Amino acid sequence: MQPALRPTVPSPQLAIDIFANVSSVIKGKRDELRLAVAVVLAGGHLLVEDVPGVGKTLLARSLARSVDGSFGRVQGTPDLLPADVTGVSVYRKGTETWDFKAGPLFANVVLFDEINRSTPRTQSALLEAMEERTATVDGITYAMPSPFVVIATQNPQEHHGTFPLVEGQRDRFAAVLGLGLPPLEIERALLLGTGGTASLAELRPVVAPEQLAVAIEDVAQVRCDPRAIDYLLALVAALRDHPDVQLGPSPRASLAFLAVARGYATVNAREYVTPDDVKAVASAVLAHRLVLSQGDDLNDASRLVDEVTSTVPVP
Amino acid sequence: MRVLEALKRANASGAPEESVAVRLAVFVAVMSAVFALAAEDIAGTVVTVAAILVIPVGFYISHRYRANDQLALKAGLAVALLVVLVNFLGALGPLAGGDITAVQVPLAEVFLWVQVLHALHVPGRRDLVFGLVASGVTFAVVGVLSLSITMAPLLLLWIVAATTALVLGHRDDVRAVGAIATEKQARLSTDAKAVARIGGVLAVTAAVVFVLLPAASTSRALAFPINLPKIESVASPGGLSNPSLGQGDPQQTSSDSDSTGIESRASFGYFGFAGQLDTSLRGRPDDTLVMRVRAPGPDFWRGQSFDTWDGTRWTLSDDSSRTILGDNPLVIPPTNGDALAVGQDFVATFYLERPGPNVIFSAARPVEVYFPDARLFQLRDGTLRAAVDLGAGAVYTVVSSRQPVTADLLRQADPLVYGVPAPIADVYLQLPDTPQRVFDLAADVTRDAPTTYDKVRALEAWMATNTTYSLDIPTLPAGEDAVDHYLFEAQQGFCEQIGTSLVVMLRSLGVPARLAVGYIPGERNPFTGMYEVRASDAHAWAEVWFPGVGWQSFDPTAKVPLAGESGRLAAAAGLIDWIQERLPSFVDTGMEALIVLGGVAALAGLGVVGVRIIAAHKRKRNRDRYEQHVWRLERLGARCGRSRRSGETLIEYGRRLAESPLRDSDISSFATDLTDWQFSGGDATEERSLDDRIRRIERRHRDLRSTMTALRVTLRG
Repeated sequence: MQPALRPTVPSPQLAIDIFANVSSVIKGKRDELRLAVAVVLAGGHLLVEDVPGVGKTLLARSLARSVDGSFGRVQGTPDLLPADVTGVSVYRKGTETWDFKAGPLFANVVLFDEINRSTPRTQSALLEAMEERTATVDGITYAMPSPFVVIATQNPQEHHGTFPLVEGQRDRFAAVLGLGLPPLEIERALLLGTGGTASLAELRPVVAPEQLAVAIEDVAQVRCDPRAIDYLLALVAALRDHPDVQLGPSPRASLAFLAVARGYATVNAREYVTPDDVKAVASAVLAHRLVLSQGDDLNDASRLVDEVTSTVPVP
Repeated sequence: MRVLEALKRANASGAPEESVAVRLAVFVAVMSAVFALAAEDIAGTVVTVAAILVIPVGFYISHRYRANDQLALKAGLAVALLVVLVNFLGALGPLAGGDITAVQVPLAEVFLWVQVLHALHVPGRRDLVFGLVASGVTFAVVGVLSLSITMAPLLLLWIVAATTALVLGHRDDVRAVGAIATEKQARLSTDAKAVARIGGVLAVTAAVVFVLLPAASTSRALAFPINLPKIESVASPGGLSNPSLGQGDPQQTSSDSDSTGIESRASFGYFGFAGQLDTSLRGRPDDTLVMRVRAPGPDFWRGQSFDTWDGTRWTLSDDSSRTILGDNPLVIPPTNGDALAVGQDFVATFYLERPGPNVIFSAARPVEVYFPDARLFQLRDGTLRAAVDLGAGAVYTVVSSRQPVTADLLRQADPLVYGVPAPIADVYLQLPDTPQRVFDLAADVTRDAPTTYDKVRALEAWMATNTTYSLDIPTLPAGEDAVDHYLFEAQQGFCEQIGTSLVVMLRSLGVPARLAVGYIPGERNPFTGMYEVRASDAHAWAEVWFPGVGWQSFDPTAKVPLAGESGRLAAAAGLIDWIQERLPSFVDTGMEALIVLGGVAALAGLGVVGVRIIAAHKRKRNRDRYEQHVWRLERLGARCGRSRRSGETLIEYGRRLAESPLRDSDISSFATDLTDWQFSGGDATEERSLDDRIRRIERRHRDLRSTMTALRVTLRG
């Protein structure tokens, strides 16, 4: 981690604040947290995918809690309906009007737990919100608050009773993050009662939603040298040309790639993207969007992206 | 105290050498040196056989027990070495005082003994390197003493083995310091490449030095090698002997001079090395190597001369001789017609390979002779004879005094202008009854030539254009004048005919001349620097007297420049001839095509190189500052065996470089700052500082490398 920050620059400062905040809860996962913060700063949505019990929800909640805005939470179940997420119009007797009662989706940070346990119908209700940042209920379109960040978690798809996200939906997530098992000493600390859920309660918000919105706009302006863009495109092109890849990353993926790289640069207290940023976020941004000719495991895709990043020459 | 400590440190045994490859390479180098000594037959049989048998065993034992502290063996070796030293000093005792060359052979033997004994105890790197150096010195000794290039293949083997040993040893050292670990599978090819590269550089450097270096000259300050394997006196003191002529040997048939049978003559015997030269005789000697001559330049190796011509044969009017006695060198006084002026020293050493006449060959005019027998006979014409037979293995050295004659000098020193003194005119203007047309021709050809020198050249030129040089000519009809027959009838002949005609025609013009016999310089072997004289190089040519200059050789066929006009020879002189000589004959015919092809190939190669240089230059120019810095960093890394991997970002690379072997955190921070500078769209001031920094890093790295080299040398002791 780069320690010293220039206080005159708000977005890296803000990134560090969030990062520090979250890492006080999730220990031993600095790289993943840095990536998570980068996605948030890039204005993207984050999918945390891993086996149960490694702290996916904890990560999502501590991220949400770091922002001092509205927070919505949806627990994915097969009987969850779209209206449960977006909200419903309620007839109000006194005024004789239909009032819109906003669902949990209308929040700065939305935590959608176990997204793949909800039905495709409910999942698709998310689509519009995530991409358009609006929700249409009973023919009326409501704008999402700003900033609007969806953090979803899911168990790997081979588990029973799940509805795998289709490619289109996966593509809406800027990055997919796996957490993996924590180091043993961190687990020990967890068992001893320090960190984990216990410290989540002590977590204080470090950033106002308006600040975050401004920061996201700032991050989008982070300088990216044509050389770095070329490198990014070389990676994307190499994936598209790869014989094991059936469907390569789309231009939307490239946009998300660049945005997250900018976020990552910001987390690293820089106002410019280096090839290292591009390389560091490649796997998280690209792996879940690939359709492989054999094997559809996210791990396979990650390996493939890693293979490409280790062969494409860096400027 | 410090000296004691240093001694102790120097004598401490280093770590045992674990690399079998290094040991094997050193072994091959040592053995090739031993075989070179054996091939040149320099050292004694005992030590040579001992070396060939013991050294392989010694190397095996050394390897097997490399970790043991073999005190008993060491003590034994020390004693044996003392014995060798005592023997060596004993061998030096009876040698002639002051003759450094006599020490060479015992010294070579001592070296061989040291090699043999040393091979039994070479546990460590330092011991192996000592063996390697010793084998190099052995080769130097062989090179000095050898007369031929028999050892060339062994020398090549040695070079390969020694280079391999040094490359492998060097690599292992570097690894021992903990610096560069080359990946295993790549190691073999990298080593082979390194050996090939170093070998190539060596070859090119050696070739360039060889071509640029002037030929070695001999100084009179040195003692010269002399040798006589067996001393067998000739029948009559001052008489001529030539065993190679069989029944024609003048020593055996001095009374019956007509029975010079060709059948009994050795294939390398030349009938001119006898009491007379009968130009009606045919049959040239073959290509047998008869002697090697170490000389600073080419000249005629004169053995005898003849003054009396009877129309078919040459004889000597007076073959009485005077005895020259004394210590080496024997001082040779001038004789009839010799210039009294002191000329330039020309030192030639003759190594005889075949038994021949007992004449002392020399460039004209000999002034000092180093000869083992300490006794010579000088004939009236100034040529020299030994009192003993000269067989194979005989070695003698002649210092000649050569006038630096040039064409202009000879034009001025005209015997027709200055007159011929009576003693010379009495002997060297003699002519038998010769057909008039010979004299007419001489007068005719030389009518427009203003000086004697020009007359000689004119006669030579006439013969070159109007007669053919041929070794296969019809026999001379009985009663015919050989010169008349050659010039007007046969119009083909070889050196005897050409030389005789020149002498006869010059005499008819009043120019004193005589016929000399001996050898032309022979082919110069550029690797030994010696002229290799073959029996077929036996020759007869004209010597013309010039006042103040003496006897000057002239020959239209042999390419021997005037003494004053021959430039300084290069060491590689004769290289092209030498190569051409050894090419198969079909190549010889296709030589021109080959030269054209070679030229085309060379031009094409130059073109390719040029294009590549331009392309590289363009690439370099197109490279921006960032890429240049990146390239410099990558070069730095590659030099210490850490090339940048593909897919490795600059920062990752810098971090990897900083870890080891350089342990230089500046590299890491430089890589980071360079990345920052480029991708933040950095400014010029920072660029300058980056420039300084990479320069500093490069300099430090260079220093580090030289320090490491020094460290290695120190470690090795």
